Order: sequence, then C-alpha cells, then structure tokens
Amino acid sequence: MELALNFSFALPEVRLNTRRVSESPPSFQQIVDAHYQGLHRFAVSMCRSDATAQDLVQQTFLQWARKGDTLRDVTKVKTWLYTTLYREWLSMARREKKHPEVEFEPDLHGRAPDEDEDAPPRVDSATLQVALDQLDPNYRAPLVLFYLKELSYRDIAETLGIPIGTVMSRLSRAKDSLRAILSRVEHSSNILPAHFQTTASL
Amino acid sequence: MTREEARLELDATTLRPQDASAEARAHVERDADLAAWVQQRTAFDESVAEALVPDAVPEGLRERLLALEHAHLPARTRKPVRWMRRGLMSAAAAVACFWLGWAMIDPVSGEMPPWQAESLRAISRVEHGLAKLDERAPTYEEVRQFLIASGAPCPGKRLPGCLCSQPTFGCKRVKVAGYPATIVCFKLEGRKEAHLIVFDNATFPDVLEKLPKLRTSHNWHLATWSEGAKTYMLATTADEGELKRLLGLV
Repeated sequence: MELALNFSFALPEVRLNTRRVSESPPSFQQIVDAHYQGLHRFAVSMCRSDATAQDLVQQTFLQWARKGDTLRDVTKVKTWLYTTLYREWLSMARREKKHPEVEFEPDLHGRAPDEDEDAPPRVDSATLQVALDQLDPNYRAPLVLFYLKELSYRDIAETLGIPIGTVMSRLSRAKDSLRAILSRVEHSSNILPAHFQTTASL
Repeated sequence: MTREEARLELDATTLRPQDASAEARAHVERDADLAAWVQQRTAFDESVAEALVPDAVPEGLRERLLALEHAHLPARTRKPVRWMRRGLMSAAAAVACFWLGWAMIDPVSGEMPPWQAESLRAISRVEHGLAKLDERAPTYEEVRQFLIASGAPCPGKRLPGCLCSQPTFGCKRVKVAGYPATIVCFKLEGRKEAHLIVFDNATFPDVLEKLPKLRTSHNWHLATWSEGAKTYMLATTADEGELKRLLGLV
C-alpha cells in the first residue's frame, strides 16, 4: 500500500538555476570530480558491495562519456548521473533477481509521528547498513538519496522517475521504518522478526 | 496546505531546509507540536546522514573514471544548422537501420573450423554491442589483471607485434565449442576495433605454434595461432595490412 498525494496547493517555486542551457558544459574531469564520490556512496548504500559499486559508477560515467553531449541543460548533469546509476543498479538487480517485489506494510514497518516520542535510537555505520538492508529497495533508494543530501526531494523524484508526492510519502514511511528497525536492533541484539527479512539487498 | 501535507514536506527537507516552501515553514511557526516533531526528526536524520557511508573512495577509482573519457567517440565541435541537423538525423537513422541489418548478417563465410566460426560470431556480437563487456579497462595490463583475478582464460603477458601496447575497451568471457574463452577488445585508429579471443588448454588441430595463420571471412580478417597451452584468434574489420601490423608481420 502506498500513499500517493495530490497536493491542492502550489508547490514552491523551483529555484532559479545559476547556469543556463546555453552555457558551455563542464569538462568530463570537472563532472567526475564533482560527482563521483557522491555516486559511489549511493552505489555502496544500494548494493552493499564495493566492487559492484565501483562497476556501477564506472558504467555511469561511461554512459556519460558516450551520451553526455546529448544533455542540453547543463544544470541537470547531477540528476542525469544519479538517474543513470539508479537504472544501472535496477537492471543489475533484475538480472540478479535478488530483491523480490513485496508489498510495503506500514503497520509492520512504521509508526505514526505522534507515537514517535521516544529518544532516537543510536546510529552507527554498521547498524545503519543492517537496517537499510531490511528496507524494500523502493524505499531504500529515496531514503539513501535523501541522506546523501546531494539532491532535493524534487531531484530525487526525477531521478527515481516517481511523483514528488510519492517521494515525500515514501521518505516519511521509510524513516519511520528505519527508526523502528534501529530501535529493535538496539533493544534486541540484532534479532529481527521474520517480516523484516522479506527483502534482500544486492 | 494541510498540516499533514506540511509535515510530509518538512520531513522531506530536514537536511535541506532551503527546499521547504514558505507555506510549510509557516505551519511550523504557528504549530509548536509540529515544530518539536520537525526538530526531533531533524536530529535523527542528521545522525543517520553522518553514519550513512564513509566518505572514503577506493584508491584509483578517479583515475579509472577519467580514463573513460577516451572510451567514446569525439564530440562534434560545431553545431549544424537546424535543417542540416534534421537531415543528419535522417541519415543517421538510415545508417542505423543499415548497420542493424548488416549486423544481423552472419560473419562466417566458406568452410571454417567450427571453433573459429563460433569464435567469430561471438566476436561479431561484441563488436556490434549485442553482447556487453564484463569489464572495461583502458589498457591491456589492466584487462589481464582482471582476468587473472577472475580465473578466466587470460592471454599471455607478451603477444605478437604491438598488440600489448594497443589501448583496450575491456573484455568479455564467453564459451566457445564447450571451452571457456575470453575476448579482449582493442581500440584501433579510425574507430576500428580488433578482438583477441584466447583459450586455455584447448586442443584445436588446425593452429600452428607461434605462427599466425591468416584468413578472411566476409569483411573480417582473422589470424589464428597457439603458444604453449593457449590458443588465439585475432579478428578485425580493419584491413589486412592493419592485422599484419598488429601481429608484427610487416
């Protein structure tokens, strides 16, 4: 079950881009230097394998080397790169067939905000990755992009090819779920109920 | 904007508050409960963001990425005028159709030993992009390192002529006539490619030790030879002179 929102109000104006379509594009090296670290972090968070993550990043920049000159709006370079990496990951995941499609069950994963008054669970890198691995990839992808802080929620929507309202609802539910999983991990020494293990990461 | 809509938007902008709309921010200013919730949520999000993934990047990744710049065709330096662009697109579409049709043609002609025919078909698929490379690497040595690490058939450290010094696209592992084999793709001048397929411990009777045997098949020029336990076939659509140059025969 997924909440797709129809907003009855005007969404905030898109910020003015400082670069124009007609501006000359940055060099390949400038683009690599500006984005490869963020892309690598995204890839590692999604596939949990450094070797695979490097392959994904290389494949992404190879695509850029071949097709980047077709991108007319230079302000979209970052979104283009993240979109490409995400698609590469998706196609790899489909080939591997390692993450079955599952219906998201908010009652099992999340909690309403009003109930969320306990002290936040402690977070360390290892525990966080264990918790992220429990999330369905449809929720993990926007969540990881959100925590990387590289993209706005609008850009995340564009990158993942889903409506803005869906990004917002997925982020909210995924955060609730992540928090719940982290609390459980903290309190039960890493023993998770079976329904959290319905998804697997690459 | 309802409170719930504002909550969702604020939740999506805790780490980038500049992305939140004025309407959503106004909700926070007049709703103390919502403000407290956002504050708590932000603290949690910041702790998660800090723990997400270490910023360390693998050594050498940047250099490998920068090397990819040369793995594509040179960009156009001048933009054609609109009518020319349309014409060029039509021509490109026609060329693409022609190319696709051509790619479907079997590259094998005449009587050819089965292993060579199968090898050439595998090479043709790689050249036409119908089979994706397993690993991309700009130099022969990097390709070899990958193949040694992966345990796939790997060509020798030394090859005839100037093959070892040619830039590479990467490699593809295949199975030919029941034998595992590896195709290494070399980049040539004039957008041409050469492909070396190598077998380990294969027993093909029609190859000669260290003596490349040349032949043609449609527009392909081939050379086969063996060295120790390794059997090689080099194939290219470049002319025969180029094949001989690669093998050091001229």
